[in-house]
Amino acid sequence: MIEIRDLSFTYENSGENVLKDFNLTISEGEFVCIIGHSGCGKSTLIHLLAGLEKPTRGSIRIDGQRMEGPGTDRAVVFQNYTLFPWMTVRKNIIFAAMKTGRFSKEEAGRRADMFLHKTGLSAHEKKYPFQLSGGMRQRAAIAKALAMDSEIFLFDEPFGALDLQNRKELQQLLQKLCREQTKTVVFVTHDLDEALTLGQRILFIKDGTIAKDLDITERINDCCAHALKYEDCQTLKKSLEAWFQ
Amino acid sequence: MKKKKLKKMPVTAFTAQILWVSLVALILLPGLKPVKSPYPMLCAVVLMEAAYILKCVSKPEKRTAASDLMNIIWIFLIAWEIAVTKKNLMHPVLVPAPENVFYVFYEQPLILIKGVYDSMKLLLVGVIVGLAAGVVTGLICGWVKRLRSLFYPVANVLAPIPSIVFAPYIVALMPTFRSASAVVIILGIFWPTFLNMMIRVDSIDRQILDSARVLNLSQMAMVFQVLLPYAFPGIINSLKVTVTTAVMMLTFAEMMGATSGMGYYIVNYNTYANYTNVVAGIIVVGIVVTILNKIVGMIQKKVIQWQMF
Repeated sequence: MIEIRDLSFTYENSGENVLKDFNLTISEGEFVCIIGHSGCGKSTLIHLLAGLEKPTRGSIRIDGQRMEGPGTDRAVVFQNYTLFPWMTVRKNIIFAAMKTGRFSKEEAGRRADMFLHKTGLSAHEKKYPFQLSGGMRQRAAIAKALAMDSEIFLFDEPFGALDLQNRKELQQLLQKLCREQTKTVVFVTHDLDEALTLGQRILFIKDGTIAKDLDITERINDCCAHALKYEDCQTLKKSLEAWFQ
Repeated sequence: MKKKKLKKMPVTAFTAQILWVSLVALILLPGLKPVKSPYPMLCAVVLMEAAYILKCVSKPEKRTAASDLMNIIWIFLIAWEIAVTKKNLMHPVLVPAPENVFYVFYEQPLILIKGVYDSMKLLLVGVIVGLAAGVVTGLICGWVKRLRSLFYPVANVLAPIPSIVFAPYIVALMPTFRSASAVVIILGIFWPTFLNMMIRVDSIDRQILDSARVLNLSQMAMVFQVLLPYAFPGIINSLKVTVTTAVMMLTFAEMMGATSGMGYYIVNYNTYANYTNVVAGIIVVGIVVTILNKIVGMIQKKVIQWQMF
């Protein structure tokens, strides 16, 4: 469980107050999408959850323990450079899995092979990141995160730089894998379609705070369970889009 | 098929052949200045032509560049031959006859080989120690903010100063001239490498750093498992400059009181105004630097496979 209490963050250089008195609780196994306009603080939130930044005020607790910095209980997938360019795909995954301290080299190797297979990258395990397409790199980044067996996954616009086709494929892959692994996921995106596709819960961030907290699973599932109610799905999406703009 | 090959040959390839034939004829003709023997020079010229033809055949894409270079070399040798041996126009001591210079390779092969061997031993020690020390300390000081603030201005001042300037103090401190020479080379490599590493660490992509930080690596792991491999292409790419600088420092260092090596060879014969051997020594240094650069180029190709990111 992730608990964020009265979180505020101000950039030292610019003095910009990006997050203000942010409060949020994410239950174990929840898939939360965070959406908002550029500069609203969503990436900053991911960096705070990853331990890459320290809050100006407030606290973040994971399973009751105060979070002090980065840790391998959280796996992070960025938009770029999640993989180290000087290691092959397989070595990147083994390196990350071993650094968690939970796996020996042999076990890390087995996990790497397993998740490379699940993400369709077995044939590319000996390639360097520069030899892969953008979509393949993000698949490898997902495989790396899964191999770490962390409790929490943090995604910072991982599919933002990809074309539509790749995005759709990776969304389906991510949904399938996260369902298998039942991880807690915090997924930042600027794409409402993507948030509706992936998330059980959507948080709209505006002016550094949560403007809307929507549990959409039931509503969307109800809508999409019956073809006749397809229009209800579209109506919901349109109303969210109108609000978002 | 043959016609196509002829068409692809650059014009400078034909001019190179004409110049080569002219040079060989010139060597064989008698001149105003007496020479020891034209045959070593003739051998050298034939070998150079053979190497050029081999290059053109094995790497057709490099024919134009090779042909341009050979034209310049042949023109230079022809001018030298005419100005000195054939017409005796130049200073009799300062500008030796090319036949006599190439004769040195026939007369003193073992001395020259030993000189190169002794120089390479010193060079290897200097480059390895200077590079290793510069890389490790540069990475650590680049990573630790406090050390960076302290050493960056110091490195900025010391890196551009040629280490030979500190030679009198190094000679006074070190037990032997040879060890003093090694220190001169080490310092000449160390400071620019140290500065380069600090700059490289400072310019590392923020996202690579974040990808490393989320793995909660220790400081040592961060330096040796992230920063070092990240900086590695930069080290290899600047190896050519490093080697050139090292050879420069080596030649200066050997002039400080060494008893062997190519720098000593050149200074020794310079003292006796024997410029024939001085020029031969300079040619040997040029050949050695070319070979070293080739080796570095091969290392670059083999080692940095991932740099195209």
